[in-house]
Amino acid sequence: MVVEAVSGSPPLAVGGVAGGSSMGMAVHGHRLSTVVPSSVTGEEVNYELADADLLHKLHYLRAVHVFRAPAFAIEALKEPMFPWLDLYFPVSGRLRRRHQAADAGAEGGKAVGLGRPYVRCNDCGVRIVEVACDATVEQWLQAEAERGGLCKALAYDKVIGPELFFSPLLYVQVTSFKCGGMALGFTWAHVIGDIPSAAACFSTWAQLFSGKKAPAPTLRDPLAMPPPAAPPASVAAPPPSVKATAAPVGDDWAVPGTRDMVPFSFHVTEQQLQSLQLSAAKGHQQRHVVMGPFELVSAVIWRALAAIRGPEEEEATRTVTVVRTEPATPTPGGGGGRPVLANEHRIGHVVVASTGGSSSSPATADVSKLAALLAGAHLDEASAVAAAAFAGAEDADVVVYGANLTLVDAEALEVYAGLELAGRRPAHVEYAVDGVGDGGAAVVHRDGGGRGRTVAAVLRRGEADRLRAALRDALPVAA
Amino acid sequence: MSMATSAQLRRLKPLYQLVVNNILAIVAVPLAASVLLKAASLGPEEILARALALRPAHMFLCAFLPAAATVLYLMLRPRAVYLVDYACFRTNPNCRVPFATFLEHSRVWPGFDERSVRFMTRLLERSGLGEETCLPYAQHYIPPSRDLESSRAEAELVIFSAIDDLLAKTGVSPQDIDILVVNCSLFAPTPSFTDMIMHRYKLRKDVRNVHLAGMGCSAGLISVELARNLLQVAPRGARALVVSTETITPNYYMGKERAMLLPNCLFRMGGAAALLSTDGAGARFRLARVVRTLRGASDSAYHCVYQEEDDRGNVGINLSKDLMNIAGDALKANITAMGPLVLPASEQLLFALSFIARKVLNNRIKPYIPDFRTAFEHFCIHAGGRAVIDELQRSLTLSDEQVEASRMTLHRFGNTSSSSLWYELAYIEAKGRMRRGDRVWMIGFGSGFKCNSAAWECIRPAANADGPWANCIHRYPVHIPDVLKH
Repeated sequence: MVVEAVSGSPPLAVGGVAGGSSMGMAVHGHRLSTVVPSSVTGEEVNYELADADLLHKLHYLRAVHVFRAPAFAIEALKEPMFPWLDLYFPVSGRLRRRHQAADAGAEGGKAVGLGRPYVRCNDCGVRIVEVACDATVEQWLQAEAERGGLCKALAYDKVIGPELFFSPLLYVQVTSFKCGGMALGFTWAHVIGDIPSAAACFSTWAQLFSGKKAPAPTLRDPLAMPPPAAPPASVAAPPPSVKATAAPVGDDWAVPGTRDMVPFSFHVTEQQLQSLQLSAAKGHQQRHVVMGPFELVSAVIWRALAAIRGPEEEEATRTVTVVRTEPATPTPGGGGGRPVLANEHRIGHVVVASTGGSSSSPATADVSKLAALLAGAHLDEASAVAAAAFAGAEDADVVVYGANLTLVDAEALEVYAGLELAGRRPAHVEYAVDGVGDGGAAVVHRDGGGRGRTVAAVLRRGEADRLRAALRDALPVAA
Repeated sequence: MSMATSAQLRRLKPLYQLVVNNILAIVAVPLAASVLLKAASLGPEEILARALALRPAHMFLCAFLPAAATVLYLMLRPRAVYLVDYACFRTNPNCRVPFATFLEHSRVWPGFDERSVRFMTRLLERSGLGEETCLPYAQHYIPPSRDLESSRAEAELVIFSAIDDLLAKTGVSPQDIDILVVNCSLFAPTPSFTDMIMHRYKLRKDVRNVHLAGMGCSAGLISVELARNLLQVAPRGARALVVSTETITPNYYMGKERAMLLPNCLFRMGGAAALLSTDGAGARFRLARVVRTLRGASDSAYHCVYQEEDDRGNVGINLSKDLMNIAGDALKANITAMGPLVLPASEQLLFALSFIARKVLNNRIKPYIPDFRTAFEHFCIHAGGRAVIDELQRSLTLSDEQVEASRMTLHRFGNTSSSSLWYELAYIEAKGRMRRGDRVWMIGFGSGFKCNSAAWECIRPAANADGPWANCIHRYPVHIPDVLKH
């Protein structure tokens, strides 16, 4: 067990407990309630899930926003949620499965599978969880900078299942700190929308809270129509970026994992990024490949994790999955864009070729070389990947995040400005993907200042501390 | 009786009604005509001579006695009581509980077992409630909180908004209120709701205030009758504020007894405030009759709606299986008392004849059910549940349109207990069906077992559809399926 490297400030003893325990940061006093759309959606309105949506059904987005005191009353937070859910009524629905049509002459070997999931928009609502934390926001921020990984406790940790009928697609946890600050943690089922859709959804709520008038619901029109016939698969075989689960998961939508996964977070400052860019530019001759902060930071992580995982997993760590997100396209008229719920990001993979001698392993390769590989990754639309992975089946259980080490580019998201409540921005924001496979997944997004980067990851237990040490070594702190 | 004969009888019925209801006029006109003819035949001089021949004492008595009798009658007559206006609590979409949410909350909370959840699902599917009924803020939590603070908050929200609405509509200042009657059956904290209202609106020191607790779902009409009685002894032109509500927060049943789960599924948030006065200026309705029937003397009626603890100590309201029969009996008793007071002479005569015929001739002759549509244009039946409305429609032989107000109120607001009658009246007015001179029959049922009814006559219908139905009346009436698909 590697002791945390001292990097300037002494380790903080929080809540009277020294060392790595997070006792002082624990939350307690869960009170659950529900918020529904303010108007009736209609009788038997369905929202069809595309293949791209079902591809991600085992994953969850965890978005945590921490605000300093003074906080807002829970009633005030809930009030704009009612018209908000009018705009996003599929999010307040519940999952159901279509009954399988009895196929005359079904292939003998094919097991009778469960029907295709869809969302019945029955206004069931989203779950609100109210908890309290005994630390102050400042203590929490310090502990987070020291240890990281504290955001997981600030979002409700629940997956869909075992009963689809009664599983909310969105949980909102409101944590009250001792000093009067608060944290808003969203647990968003990836099946209903990708990271930019979720960010836009939360941002819409924040705008309604701050007094903006709700636009007329527009999600209704393209819905309730069956998904268009899958386009001819441009990817011949399921790409190695995603993997099917070993066994069907049924109605328990969680990645069946053999390892214990823990949260991890790390902050890369602007100076560290700049020094990374300088050293990468020196080390790499190819000028036409643009290596942005995402590629560089991800390359550092990839290299470090490959080293931690060691030669036993060398083959596995050669391949990483890359996910790139773009924010929802704004309408010409501006005004925040119309609500969009879709899984439209792009997925691809990168392999470090095994030929080339001693420098071929990602653990020993140059950061700039890995970054160039990442920058040049070939990406496919999620719908194409889904079409290949499903191969015409009604439903498939696929692991996207964590099939291999997954690196998610969320740089274009306005995660701090998006959740501005009554003119106040959060003090700390973290967007991570939870419910990931053994490979682990890391999301890279902008930090509060906009120039640094926050890495929010879910890794195997035992890797988190070593990765932190490795990153501290690799990214020297500016004097 | 053959079909042809009964068809002929039906055609003759309007003529019969015309004759019997106006029998006095029909008898008086020929009599007056004959008197005039006789007088004409005698000639004016002859009449004058006969008049002068009368003794003064006789003439004095002729004039004095009828005049004295008339004055005595006018003085001893009870004062007419008018409904100046009424207002219902407007529900907030923030309190809305869709069917799916109610079901999920019962399922997610471990206190309800599978059987209870299935039972509540079946109940809700067939209940006739819609997707817009509202529960108080505390009951959106899993499990619902039933503490005193939340209960008071719900009561204050409902009562104060209804009263604010009413005072705005009538333009009456709180200082002008002389009598205050509040009924809330299942929640009666100290200080009472009347004191809560006094405190909030700064009413006068000499207000006559009464809180009625434990009187069940028919308490709205009991409060109206109490206010009417108090107005008889109050100074002329006094004003009485009547507030009817039910607080649901403290009464959520958390056990497994099926008979006690029913109220959870049907009761919803609601309340109404009405202003009564003996001053008819600007009033909208006149209170014609209030008839109350109490069946508590019989065992089965007494235990019909009974608040008790189940085996595990959870408090709930136990509804017995023969609730419908008891309700039917209570209704019969009530309309037997109400009938003679409101039915026109034609119907009463037919009923009496049929009664005599059954007694004298043959018990196999079907009893004549008086047609209450001759006495009332509109019917407000307590929206206690779909079964109650079905039962009443059957026994009073009412058309679908006449019970529409009750069914739609149940769909939109659920069972709001004592205030449901006011929501139904608001529906009829919002639909624009009320005309001057229309008569309304309000029938309420409640624990005890009580059946209370009131007859109102419209003086001035509502000017617009403003009220609890304002933003949804255009969608009504809706078709309510037998079993809700979800």
